[in-house]
Amino acid sequence: MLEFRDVTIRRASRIILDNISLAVSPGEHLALTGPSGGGKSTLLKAALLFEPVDEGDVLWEGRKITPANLAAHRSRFLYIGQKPLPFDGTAGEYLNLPFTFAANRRLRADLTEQDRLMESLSLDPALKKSPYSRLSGGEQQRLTIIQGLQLERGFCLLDEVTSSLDQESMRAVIRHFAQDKGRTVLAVTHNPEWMEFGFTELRLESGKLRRRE
Amino acid sequence: MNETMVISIPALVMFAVILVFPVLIFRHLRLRLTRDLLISMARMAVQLTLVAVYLEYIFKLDMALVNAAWVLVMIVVASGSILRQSLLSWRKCIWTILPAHLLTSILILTGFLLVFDSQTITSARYLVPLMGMVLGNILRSNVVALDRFFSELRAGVSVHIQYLTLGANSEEAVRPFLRNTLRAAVGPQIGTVATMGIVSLPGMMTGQILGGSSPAVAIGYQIMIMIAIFTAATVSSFLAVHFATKAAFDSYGRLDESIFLHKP
Repeated sequence: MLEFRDVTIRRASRIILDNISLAVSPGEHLALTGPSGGGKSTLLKAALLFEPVDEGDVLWEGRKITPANLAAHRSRFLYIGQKPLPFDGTAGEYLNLPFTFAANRRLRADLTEQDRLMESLSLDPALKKSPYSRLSGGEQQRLTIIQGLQLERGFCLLDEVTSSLDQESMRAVIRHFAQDKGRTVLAVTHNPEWMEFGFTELRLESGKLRRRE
Repeated sequence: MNETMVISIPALVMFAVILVFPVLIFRHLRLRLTRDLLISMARMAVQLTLVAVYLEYIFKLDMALVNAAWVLVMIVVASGSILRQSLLSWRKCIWTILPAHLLTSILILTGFLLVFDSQTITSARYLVPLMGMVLGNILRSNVVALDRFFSELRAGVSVHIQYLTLGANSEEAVRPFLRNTLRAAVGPQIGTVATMGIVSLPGMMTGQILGGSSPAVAIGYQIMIMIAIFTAATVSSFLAVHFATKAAFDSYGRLDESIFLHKP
């Protein structure tokens, strides 16, 4: 369980997060909404301590995250941002990128699983042979999502991952996460569509969080 | 004809009159560069005069140890100048850039030993101008590399985070940035090398020909120095950025803003 306990974050004397407490239970599907610049992305990054926390703590299963247990903490999460990663090579090589990292060397890419994920996000598996840089922003974004989904990470932090997608692929992406009951999802979004797929809305406004059932 | 014609000081002063043209163009465009231009030119003249005096002395002395010390001074000054131009904190980054340039210089000197015997290369007449050319020509690529690396890293914070959460270690996570950085820093030089001799008559060759060497001798040096400069530019840019990443992140893997001179 991920927990923010009395977290306050200030940036240049402005309060971004004001004494926020939030516990995300396993399997929960949350959509984090609110005005732009309101600290949604900051909250997501603070979950992984990529943003310094001025007051309060970030905890996992009740234990405070420190540099000592940070690597283990981060390895439970999948973080996907708005921008696809820059990459030279084919789309297939891009999907295999995580398996080239030393930490994942004992894992292997499951090519049939890749194809299944591509079809589920309405991408043609034949795209794998295309140079990644030639694909559209929407295609790159979905490949980035698939790239991460191949890793067995129980907790997804999504930062406006559908912003560059058309209506159809956007719904395919949201549906995929909504149906993935085994994963906990915290998705920053401006799009009400996530709630239609059963996500619980968390609204962040003026540094305060409100849960809307 | 082996003696080069001496340019007298009055002749130089007269020649400087042609600076009127850039100044007129600046005034015409209302570009406020005149002051900077005149100060830079004056600085250059003073520095070169001082160096000439100093080099005369070093050349007369011609002791391997003194020559090496002078190269060391050049390395420190070059490192400092790179940090200043990349807007990086001297205090925080000098220990990352200095080793990069020391290692590069050792590599290049080892290379020179394949061409010259140790007596020749450690003599002032060879060591000082050759290392000076190499160090002087890699400043630009180092500045481009560091500048590009940190600006891309700042713009791509989420990309960096994403790599880290995909399981990349700190080195693997900066690799895409490092790749772009090196392409920007030394890529254009590959093009410059290809046009050498046709578009530009290179400085070292010009100098040697004016100094009385035959063009055949001059090209040997020119080819050698081009290889040395390109190798040094690539190795030093790579090492400078590589070592800088060690200082740039805190224990949470976050970019430490205190290494920059001006906060964004």
